[in-house]
Amino acid sequence: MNILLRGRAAKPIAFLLCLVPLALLAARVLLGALGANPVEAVTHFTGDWTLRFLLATLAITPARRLLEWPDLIRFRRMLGLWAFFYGTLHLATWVCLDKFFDPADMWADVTKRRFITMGMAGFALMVPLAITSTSGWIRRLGKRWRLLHRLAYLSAAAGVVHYWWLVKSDVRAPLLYGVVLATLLGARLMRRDVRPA
Amino acid sequence: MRIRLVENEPATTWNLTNPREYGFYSNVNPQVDHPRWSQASERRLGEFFKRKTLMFNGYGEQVAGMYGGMDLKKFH
Repeated sequence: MNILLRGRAAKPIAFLLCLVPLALLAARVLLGALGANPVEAVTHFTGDWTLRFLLATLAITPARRLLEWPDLIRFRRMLGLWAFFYGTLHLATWVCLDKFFDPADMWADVTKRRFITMGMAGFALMVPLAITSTSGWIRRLGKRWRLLHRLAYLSAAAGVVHYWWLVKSDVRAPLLYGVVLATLLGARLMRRDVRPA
Repeated sequence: MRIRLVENEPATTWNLTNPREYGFYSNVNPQVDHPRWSQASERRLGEFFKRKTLMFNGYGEQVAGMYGGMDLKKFH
């Protein structure tokens, strides 16, 4: 399996797979299959996929060790950037379709509603990560790059809390994301504990 | 089956699971925000752009009397 991950076709295939949610969304838009509240449907769809890609990105490190597929690392940046892509779509849906670019309305939403504040924080944390994702930035930042990119943990946590705070009372879906995130972060702590002194 | 007229508002799934959000008179006052969103504007079915939500959903003349004496900030 690890050999397959190393193949030349692996990255293009992964890229196309990451496009599948976008294609599904486009199909639903074109077919008018978004239900009674299309704007809400687009918002939820893009938000869900942002969280999924964030968690997939954070799953790479533990999965490499657990499955002994070190070459999974080749896909981490791509997954992270797709998380940023879907997060940008999510934010753009809110700005363009929900708020109609009304700055006062947007400001009121960000300051009054804690789940919007938290979502905004989660997105803002992704911005420096996307910018410094290039090889040039990795080289320039050296050791600090790893430190900076731990912000991904915070961003994912903000995403889960954002979802948690926005649901009415059924917290099952955000709880599931939260458990997955806690597991992925916990796997990192465990690793540290067993390391010989 | 029987019908009882009770003095206090009965407990329902809605007001039990999320008492913060369900005032009995909710959404007649666009000037008061719902805890999770603004009620100031709405998108009508089949329309793309939002419009300002009217007080009492536009039925002020007919129904405002029913809310007489109530504080529509508190009992939004």
